[in-house]
Amino acid sequence: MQLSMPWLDLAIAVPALAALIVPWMKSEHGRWSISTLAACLSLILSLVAWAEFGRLHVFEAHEQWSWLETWGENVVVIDEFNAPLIPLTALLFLLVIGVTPMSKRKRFPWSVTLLSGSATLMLFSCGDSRWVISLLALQTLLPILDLIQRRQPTGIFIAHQVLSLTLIVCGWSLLPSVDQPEVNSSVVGLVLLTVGLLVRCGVSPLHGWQIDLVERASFGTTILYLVPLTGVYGMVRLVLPTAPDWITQWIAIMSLITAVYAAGMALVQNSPRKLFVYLLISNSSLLLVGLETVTPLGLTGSLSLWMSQGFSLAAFGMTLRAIEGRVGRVSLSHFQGLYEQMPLLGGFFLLAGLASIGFPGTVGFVAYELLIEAVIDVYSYSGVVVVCVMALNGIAVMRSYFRLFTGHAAVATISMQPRWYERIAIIVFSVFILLGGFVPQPGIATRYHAAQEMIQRRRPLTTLPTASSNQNNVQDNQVNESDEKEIHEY
Amino acid sequence: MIGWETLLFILSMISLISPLVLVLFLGLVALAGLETSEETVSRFAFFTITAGLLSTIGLVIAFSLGSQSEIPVELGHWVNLPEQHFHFHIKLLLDKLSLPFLLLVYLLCGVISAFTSRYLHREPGFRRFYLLFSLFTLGMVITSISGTIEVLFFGWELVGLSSALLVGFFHDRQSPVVNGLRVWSIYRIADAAFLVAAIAMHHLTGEGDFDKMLGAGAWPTGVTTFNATQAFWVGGLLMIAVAGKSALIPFSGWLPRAMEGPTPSSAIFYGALSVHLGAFLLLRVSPIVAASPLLTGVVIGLGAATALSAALIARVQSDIKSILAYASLIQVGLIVIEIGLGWHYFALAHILGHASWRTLQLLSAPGVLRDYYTIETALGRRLARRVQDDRQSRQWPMSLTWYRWGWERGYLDTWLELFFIRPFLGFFRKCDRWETAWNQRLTRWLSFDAGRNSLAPETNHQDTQSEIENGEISPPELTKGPH
Repeated sequence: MQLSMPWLDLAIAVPALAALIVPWMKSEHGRWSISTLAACLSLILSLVAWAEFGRLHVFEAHEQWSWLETWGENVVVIDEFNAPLIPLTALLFLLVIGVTPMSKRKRFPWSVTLLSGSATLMLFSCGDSRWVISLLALQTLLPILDLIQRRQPTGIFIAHQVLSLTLIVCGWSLLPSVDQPEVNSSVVGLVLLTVGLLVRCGVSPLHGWQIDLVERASFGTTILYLVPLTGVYGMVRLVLPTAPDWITQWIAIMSLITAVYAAGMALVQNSPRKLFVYLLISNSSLLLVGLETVTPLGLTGSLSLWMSQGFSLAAFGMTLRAIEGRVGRVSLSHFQGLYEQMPLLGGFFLLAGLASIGFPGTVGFVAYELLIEAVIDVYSYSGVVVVCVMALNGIAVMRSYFRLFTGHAAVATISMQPRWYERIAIIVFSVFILLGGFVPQPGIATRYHAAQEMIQRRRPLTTLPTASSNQNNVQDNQVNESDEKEIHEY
Repeated sequence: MIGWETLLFILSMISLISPLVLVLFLGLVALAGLETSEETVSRFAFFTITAGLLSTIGLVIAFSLGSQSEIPVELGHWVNLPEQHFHFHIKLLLDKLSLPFLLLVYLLCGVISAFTSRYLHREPGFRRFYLLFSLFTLGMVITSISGTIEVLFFGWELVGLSSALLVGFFHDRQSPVVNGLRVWSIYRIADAAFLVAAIAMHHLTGEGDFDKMLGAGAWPTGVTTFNATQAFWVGGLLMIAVAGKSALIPFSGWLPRAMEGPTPSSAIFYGALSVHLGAFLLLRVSPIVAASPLLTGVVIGLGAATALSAALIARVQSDIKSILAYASLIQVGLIVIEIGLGWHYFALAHILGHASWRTLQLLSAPGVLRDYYTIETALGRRLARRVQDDRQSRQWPMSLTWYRWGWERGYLDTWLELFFIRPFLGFFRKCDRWETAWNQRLTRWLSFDAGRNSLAPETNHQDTQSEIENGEISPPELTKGPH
C-alpha cells in the first residue's frame, strides 16, 4: 500500500531547505520566523502522512513518488510503530525552535538545528537498518557542533558516541545475512549491537555523557538530542525483532537498575538540568523494561509511554528553558520563589512533571498502568520496583516545583509572564496532556495494534549458542531464511 | 416519564460532574490568564457544590425508598483491550457506605467553601485555593462513589496532590512548602503501596470491581474470594496506604505539618475528610480484613497504637491546631480499631460524627482566638488562665520520659529522618559526587585542546555554597577541580 503523496519526504525536506535559506537572513526575527514556519510545515506534513496512513488500515506503507526511496526500499516507510512518532518528533522541533527565548535567538544555531531536525525525522521514518545506523551517527553532529560553538570540551560526548556507534556497527556487521546463517556470530553481533544501543540510551553506568551534555550544551540542543529517544528507536528497529529472550531479560534488568538509580539521583540534584536528564533516563529505562517484556501489554504500555514522555518531558524541559531564558541558570539548592512572577509557567511545569510520572488524569497514567501490569506478569516482583521508581520521580518533580516556584516571593522589575508564542505552546501541550489522560482509548488502541504487529513479526534467535543448541539454531535459521531477510530490513 | 434507573444515573452523574465543572472552569480561567473576581469564583463554587449536594440528597432519598442494598452505575470502559483482558472499568457504586460518605463530603465541602469566601477574602492566592479545593472535592467525590479499585485510586491521587499543594498554600514562606513536600512524599509512598495492592487484586480476581473482589454480597456483608494468605498480603499493602493517608503510625508525623495550610484546608485535612479517607478505604475492603485473622490483629494493633500515642502527644501540645490535629488522630485510631473488630456501621457513624464535629471546632478555632484577643484588648490585660494541676501526673512512673516523648511527637519524624531519609539521600548524594568527580576526570583525560576554564560546566554559585552550608561537602573538596 502507498501514500498518495510523498508527505514524509516533504516533511524531511522542508527543514533541510529552510536550513539552506536561514543563513542568508539578516535579522534574528527573520531566522526565527523561517525556522518556525519550516518546523510548523514539517509537523503538518507528518500529521497528514499519519492521517492518510490511518485510513489505509495496513501495518506498513510506502510513499508514491518518493525520491528518498531511490536510496533503498525501506529508507522511508511509515508503519504502525513509527506513524505517531514522526509527528511527535516534528512537534518537538517546532517547540524548541518556536519558543526559543528572544535572549537566546542571537546565538541559536538555526541551520544546524533544522538539519538535525531533518535527520531525526528521517531516522524515525526509516526502516532500513543501515540507514538507521547512519542516521544515528549523523544525529550526533548537532551536539558536537553546539559544544564546539560554546567552547566546551567534547571529549566525554564524542568518546561515548564513538563507543556506541562502533559497537553498533560491529554488531550489525556480525548479524546473519542470507548467505551466512552463523548463530555464533549473530549472537555476538546482537550482544554488541545491544550494548552499543544501551550506551546510546544512557543505561547506567554509561549515562555520564548525558549529564555532561546537559551541563555543557545549550538546553535546546539537549532536548532535541535526548527527548526523541533515538537509542530506544534503534533498539526497536535493530534488536527487538531478533533478540532472544535472554538478551531481552538482560536489557530489562539493566534498564530496571538504571531506572531506580536515576530516580534516586533525581531526588538529590541541585541543578534543574541534571534533574531533567535523570528523569528522562529513569523514564526511558522504564520504557525499555516494558519493551523487553515482549508482550502485547508491555509493548502497548511502552509505546504509549513513549508518546506521553515525548509530550510531558518536552513540556517540562521547555518550561525549564523558558525559566533559564528569563533568570539564567537557577539552582534547586535554594527556594527561587518564581511563582509570583510566572504563575502560568509554574502551573504548567507542575502539570508536565505530573504527566511524566503518570499521574491520574494525565497522558501517562494508563501507559504506566499497562507497563506495571506487564512487568508483574513477566518479572513478577519487579513490578514493585517500577512503582517505587514512579513514587521517587513524583517526589523529585514536586521538590523541583517547590524549589523553583515557591519559598519566597521573587521580585522582578520587568514582566516575566510567558510571551504569546509560549502561551500557545503551553495551551497546546496542556490540552494534549489532559486530553490524552481523559480520553486514552484511541491512543492506546493504535499502540496496541502496533504492539501486536511487532510481536507477530518478531523472529527471535532461539537460544544461547550452546553446543547442543547450535545445530538446531542453524537449522531454524535455514528454515527461516526468507524471514531473516525480512527482519534485517524491518 | 423518566425511569427509576435513568433518574439514579442522572443524579449520580450530577454528583460526579459538579466538582469537575468547577475544576474545569477554574483551571481554564487560570490557563487563559483571565482575571475573575472573588465573587464570581465563590458563587461558581457555591452553585456547583450545591448542585452536587442536592443530587446526593436525591440519591440518598431514592436509595432509601428502593429495595436494593447496592446500586451499581455503569459508565463503560475507559480503556479496553478485550483480547488481553485489560480494562479500566468506570463504575460507580451507590451503597450504604458510599452514599453517607458522599453526603458528608458535599456537606463539609459546601461549609468550607462558604467559610473560605470570607476567610481568604483579598488573599492573593484566593483563586488558587479554590482551584486546589475543587480538585480536592473532585477527588473525594470520585473516591466516595467509586465502584472499582482503579477509579478509587484515581480519586485517591487527586486528594493527595491537592492536599500537598494546599499544605504549601502560603508558598512565599519556606516552612509550609517544606511541610507540603513531606506530606507529598508520605503520600507517594502510601500510594505506591496502594497501586501494588490494586494490581495484585486485579491479578488475583481478574477484575477491578469491588463487587467481584469482595464477594457477591453488598457492603458490609460481602465475603472475599481471597484466602487468608492472599488477604494478608493484599490487605497489608492496603494498610500502608491507609496508614499514609490517615496518618497512622508510623506516618503520623505529617499530620501536624499539615497545619501550615490555611484554616479551611486544615479543616478538610486532619479535621474532616482527608484523614478519614484511609478509614473509608479500610471500610470498603473490610471483607479482606475479615478474611485474615492476622491482618485483623494488625489493624486493631495499629489503630490502638495510633490512638494511644496521639493521646499522649495531644496532652503536651502548646497550640490549638496541633491539639485538634492529635485529637482527630485519637478518633481515627479508634475508628480503625472498630473496623478491625468488625463494627462497620459503628465505625461509619463515628466517621460521620467526628468529621462534622471536628470541622466545626477547626473552623471556629480562629474565631475563638480572635474573641480572646478582643476581650483582652478591651480589658487591657491578659485573661486569667486555668492552670492545670499536674502534680498528680508528675508522679507517674517515667512521667518526664513520656512528656518528652509526647513533646517530640513520638520521635516518629526523627526516626523516619534518621533511619530512612538520611541514609537513602546520603547514598545518592555520594553517588552524585562520585559521578561528578568521574566526569571531571574523564573530561581532563579526554580534552587535549580545551582551555582550563572550560573544563568545568557552568554551575551556579548557590549550589556549592548551599552544599557547604548543609554539610554535604566540605570546603576543601571544592578545590579538587580540574588542574
